[in-house]
Amino acid sequence: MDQRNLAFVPQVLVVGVGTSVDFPNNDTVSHQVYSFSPAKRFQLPLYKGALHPPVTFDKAGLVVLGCNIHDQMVGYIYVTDAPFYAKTDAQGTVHMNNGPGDYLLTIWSPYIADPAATLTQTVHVGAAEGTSLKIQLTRDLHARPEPRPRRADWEY
Amino acid sequence: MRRVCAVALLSATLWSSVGLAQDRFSMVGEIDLRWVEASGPTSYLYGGLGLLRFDSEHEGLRLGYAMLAPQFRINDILSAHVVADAYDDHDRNFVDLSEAYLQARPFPTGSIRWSAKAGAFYMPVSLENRGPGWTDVYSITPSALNTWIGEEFRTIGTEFEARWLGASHGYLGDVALVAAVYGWNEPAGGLIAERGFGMTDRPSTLFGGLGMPPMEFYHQVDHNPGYYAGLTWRHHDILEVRALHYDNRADPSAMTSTATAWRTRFSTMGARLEPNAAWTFIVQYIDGNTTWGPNAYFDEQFQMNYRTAFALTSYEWQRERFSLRFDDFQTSQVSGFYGPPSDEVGHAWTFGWMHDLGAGWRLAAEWIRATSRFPQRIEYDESSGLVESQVQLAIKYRFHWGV
Repeated sequence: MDQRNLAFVPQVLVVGVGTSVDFPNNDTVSHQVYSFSPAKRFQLPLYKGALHPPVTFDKAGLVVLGCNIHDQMVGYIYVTDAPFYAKTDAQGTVHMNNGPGDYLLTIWSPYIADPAATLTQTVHVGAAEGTSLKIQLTRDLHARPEPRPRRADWEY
Repeated sequence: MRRVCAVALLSATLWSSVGLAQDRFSMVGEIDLRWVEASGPTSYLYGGLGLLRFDSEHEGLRLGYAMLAPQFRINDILSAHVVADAYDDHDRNFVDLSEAYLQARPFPTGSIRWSAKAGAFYMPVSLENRGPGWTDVYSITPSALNTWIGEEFRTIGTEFEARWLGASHGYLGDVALVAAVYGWNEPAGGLIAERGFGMTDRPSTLFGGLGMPPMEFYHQVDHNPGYYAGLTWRHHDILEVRALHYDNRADPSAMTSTATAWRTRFSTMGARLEPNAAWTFIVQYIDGNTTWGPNAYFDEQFQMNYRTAFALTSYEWQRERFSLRFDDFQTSQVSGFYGPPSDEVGHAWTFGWMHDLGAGWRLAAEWIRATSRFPQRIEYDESSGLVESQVQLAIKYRFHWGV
């Protein structure tokens, strides 16, 4: 989970339980990364570059990242115990290497304000290779505002 | 020789500690030079009753300001901040401090983040002065409201903030409660009583004064601590709403050989809306009163009410920023008349343009037209009604070092 231009890059990371994540700071300013989410509480004292060892995420759940110096920096690590998971690309496409069967599919985005229970559905994957599924939203979701680029020396 | 060795050793030690901690020390500096055309009578900064920073006798090439703001991260929680300013309007000190404080920001361990400041610093009122060293980011001159905040007020004490970090957890935004206890600000209120509201980008410094003879604002006159308390709601990067109540709790009859106390209270509320990256809208108002003199003879006690509000709209497009602001201000004396009442009624239009030249250089141009009526001007054989205008063209250079 990189830090560039006062932002976490990528803004969203999805990992399996037990994954270790590096937090290199490639900004010219120092950061103090923390999370007080129940799934993982940790603090990385003031640093630049790759000073700290990777952090292991050993519990499923959403981990919201912040920087104690730059309030505007928010990042998300979605830690999951699901056997298959991935992050969509800009077109909303995702590839998973799962076999045929019935699956429970859950979607999550920091910009969707709807409750998680409404974003879950059962899907059937057929035996043919390269099966493609299209999930169509039945109504508009409640959007949360996306962060904007900030000026480093302004007070927000 | 021993002394030389000791000095050499000391500088080597200092150098190595600075070297080790190079990412802890940072500094931002800015210099602002400008060309001014002004039509008004003598500015209050030069002993007159004009409301603007410059006047027809003080125009041409001027130093807007020079500012240097170093900060040092002592450890993960504590940081030290200093802002030094220089102005060329014959203040006692050409270079002086406007802020010097320690800030503590522990890591949040829950959804509430505590932080504290101790020292001398601006109170969190202005929605315009977001730049380093409390500079205005929308135009050259801040509103009448924030001009006054910069002129007469500095918290010399301790401020606590509890911020509920709701926005990052899916709620409607962050909510912050702020409260401060301070001293050394009992003279605050004297300038607005004498002059009314003004519009300048010349805040006071901690050890200097404003005007001729200079009025000073940072003295301990009585020993009553003052306070302010406020509430902020920030909805992502879109909306910021602030409310704050200030009371310096000064004893209006207190005085020392160098300063007198003014009991000054106000409430202020404001909102800044940034619906997208280009547009900004700000509205803010302040309403309060100030009292001076002993209370034994009620009629002799000077009492004044004041209020001001402004509305600003700003549009940023590529390297350009255009801002338009309307200010409305009024003071009205209630008691303690010895001459013409200290009643000021006025309004002002400000149009600002800023152009980012890149590599730290910016151009700024600003036109202000202020219309006001102030009966005290009659005592100086001037008409009480006045229209002042001022055009400024500034070149600004900002640098960052060490971060």
